[in-house]
Amino acid sequence: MQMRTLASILLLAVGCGSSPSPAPGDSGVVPTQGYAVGNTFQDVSLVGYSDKNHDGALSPDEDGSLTAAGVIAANPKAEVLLVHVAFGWCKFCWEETAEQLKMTAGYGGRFISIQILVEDRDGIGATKAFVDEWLRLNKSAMVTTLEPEGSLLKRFGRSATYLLLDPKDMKVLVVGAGPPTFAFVRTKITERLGPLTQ
Amino acid sequence: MHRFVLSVSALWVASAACSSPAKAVVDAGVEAAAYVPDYDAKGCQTPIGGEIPGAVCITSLKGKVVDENGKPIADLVTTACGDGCTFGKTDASGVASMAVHRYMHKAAMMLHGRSTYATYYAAITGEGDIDKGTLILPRMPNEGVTIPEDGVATTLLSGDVKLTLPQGVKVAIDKMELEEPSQQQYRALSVPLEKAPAFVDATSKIVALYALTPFATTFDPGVGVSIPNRTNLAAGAAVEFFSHGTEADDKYGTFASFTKVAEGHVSADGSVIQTDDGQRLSELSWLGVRLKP
Repeated sequence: MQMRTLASILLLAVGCGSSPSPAPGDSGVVPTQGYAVGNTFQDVSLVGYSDKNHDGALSPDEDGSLTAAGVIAANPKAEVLLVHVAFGWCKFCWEETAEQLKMTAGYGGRFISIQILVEDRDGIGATKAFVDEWLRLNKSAMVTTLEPEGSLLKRFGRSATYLLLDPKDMKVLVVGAGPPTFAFVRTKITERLGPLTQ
Repeated sequence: MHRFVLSVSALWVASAACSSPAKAVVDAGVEAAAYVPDYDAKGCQTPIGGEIPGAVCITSLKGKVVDENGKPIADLVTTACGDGCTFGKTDASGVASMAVHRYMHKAAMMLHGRSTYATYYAAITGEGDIDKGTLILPRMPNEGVTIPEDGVATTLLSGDVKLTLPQGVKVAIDKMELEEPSQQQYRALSVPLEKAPAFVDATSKIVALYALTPFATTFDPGVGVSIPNRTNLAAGAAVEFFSHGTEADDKYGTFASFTKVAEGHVSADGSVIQTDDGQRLSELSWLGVRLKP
């Protein structure tokens, strides 16, 4: 899996090369139109907050070494991973955050999610301050990050997007976008994990 | 913390400096290297989650936003959501143009007045290039009333509209959208029917219309409403209260529409129109009143 360090990301960027090559072991499929069910998720380097100390509290991950694979490794009970690409100007993204938090609490580690904030309320690239505010206002305890490379944005355009992944192999189980689709994603999660019990 | 900011900034700058020759513009001006949208014959991207039942292809969305005096509102954030969201902002002439190229159903264009102006959702109907024409977004009063969030029973008055909050009410203000405390204050504005948004059906016989902010603030349980009987409805007459639904799941009324949410009566002395006991308003958006048919 890709576990790029800050240095490697900077080298890639400074080198002005083409799209990053898939890391060894990846399927090599880099969708240009977004993901489809059955694709292997191409991991991304993130900066933000995660429970890296496994104490139930979020702490900063500042060097770009935070990845979906790392989040999965830290949550061995996880049966699904929801990657949510969110925008500050998207009212529904805020609302869906509350839904995600309920599921995170209710499934007791079987459901995990990563929120990747892309832009703030005014359509300007999200900053750490905005990530901090998002966490504060949502009283969020889920992994909340920026993706400095913006590769998911490049693949999806400016669209609130969900990817439900199988933690075992990073295969995409469900793809969705926009407010009506979240109900569909929730249905799929319920199908796999059963109804919320808490 | 400081190191975090530096690293993010460095990455953003480095990324921006590394444009690929093969650029494509995605949506409202996002340049995405090596991303070339593949539009179908209608001009829309293939839905990423597969076919969306009932969805139509929206290629672009345009609208001119003006205040109640017809003055263009610049730099107003406008978004369109429905099976994907699109971002836009009005220019100096008040025009927001958004490249959408997406299949959508139950889509609406949100005008983010953020309490300086009223806010609403303009439903998107039809397909292809959509022009919503001129959208009037009235300026809200400068002064507002702080909404208590501690569950205390109280009344709030702004303009004509008095809200009665019951003991224990849970108030949820959209602080993600409205970050400034002044934006979170209660304001009510009487809007002339000739300047009503399109969601107010001209045949619905609404006799009084108000814009309320902070937009999408919810009350659980809802609040009682009282307004002066300025249209001289008959004393004791039964009325219906309408509200503009802001939730995609129609929780507080049909989304982006204007539907009945409560019943009420004109007072016995004919002075006020108020909700009946147990009839409540659950969110702040737009409020309308009409005689019960």
